[in-house]
Amino acid sequence: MHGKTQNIMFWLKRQLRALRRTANPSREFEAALWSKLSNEFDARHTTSPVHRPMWKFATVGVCALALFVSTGMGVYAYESPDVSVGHPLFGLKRGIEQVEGQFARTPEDRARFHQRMMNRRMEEAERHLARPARAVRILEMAADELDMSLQEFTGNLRDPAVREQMLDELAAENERYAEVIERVGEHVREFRREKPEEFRELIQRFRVQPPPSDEPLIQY
Amino acid sequence: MEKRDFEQFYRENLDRIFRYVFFRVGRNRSVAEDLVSEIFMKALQKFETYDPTISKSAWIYRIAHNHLANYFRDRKEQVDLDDVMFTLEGEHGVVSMERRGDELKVEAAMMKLSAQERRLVTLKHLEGYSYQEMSEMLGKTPDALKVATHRCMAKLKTLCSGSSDN
Repeated sequence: MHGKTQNIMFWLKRQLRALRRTANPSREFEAALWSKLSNEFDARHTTSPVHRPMWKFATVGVCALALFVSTGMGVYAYESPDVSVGHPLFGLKRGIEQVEGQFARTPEDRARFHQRMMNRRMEEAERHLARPARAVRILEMAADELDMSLQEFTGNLRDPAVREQMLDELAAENERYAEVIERVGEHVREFRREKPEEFRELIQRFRVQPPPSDEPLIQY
Repeated sequence: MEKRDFEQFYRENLDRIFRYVFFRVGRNRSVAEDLVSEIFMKALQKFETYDPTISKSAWIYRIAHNHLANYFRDRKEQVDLDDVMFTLEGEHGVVSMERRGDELKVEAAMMKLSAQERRLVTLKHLEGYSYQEMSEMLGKTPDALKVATHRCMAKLKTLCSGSSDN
């Protein structure tokens, strides 16, 4: 009886194994599918260099370096008075300044922003005294900033306390402005001779009078 | 991911996944081959996101299960994927009727088991999974599955001997 039971179990397992064998994939199918998967694997991982770990590392390194350099250039351009009209980085500097200007929301902020820009232009003009044409162009920009600062001050600034404080600050700036113009004046003499029309327009913008020949060229 | 890792994974799992699909599409070999190709292609695409906390065999088994579910859903067929299909209508049904008598006897006895019992016998003896792998798929301990599968086999043996007596 026990032997018969064992035989039936043996027979059953043999039948299941036979059934299992009928469900095996063919070797041709196995090889063909692996070939297809292998090609797909190569297409996804091996052939594209950017997927190699070394290339990923290099890409990250290059991006980090580019970010570092561009950030450094931006900081240098923004901070250095040597970067002014005609400098390759001046566009970047103006771009950063314009972004900064977007954050000035109130009339007081805008007035202070233009005042700050005027100071920056004057620093740049002082650095370029030896190149009068460039210095004058920078001073034109400083005059524009002063105009815009005054527009905010006279048109929109209502708070009396802030107005008074800004008046004091503008008075101090004016003294410095006059000093810068006086220093630039020495170098502008030649410019006046070469381009009298442009010079006259510049004088008008700064609201200065041409001095007698034995006096300083520009008086504020 | 190394190519040889994926190749090893492929060689270890192809036969079992093929059997899993084969018995659920009514032993239609060409349909099974198409589906298995798609399953392994999907596994290749997802291999980098494979969760190592589950076994690879349980992972590919789940992909195959979902892929088959989508296949039957697209065909608007209601199929219990935990169960096997031994018989088919039409062309492949004719083929199945030509198989040997012993094989048909085993299939008939298996169809008398409950779906849960049939699943255990199928996983172990037709698809070829170990008790450890079955435990990861079914969420039960290997020992419990071993006992349960042996009981199912004993029942199947009784059913086969009964039918052979007849």
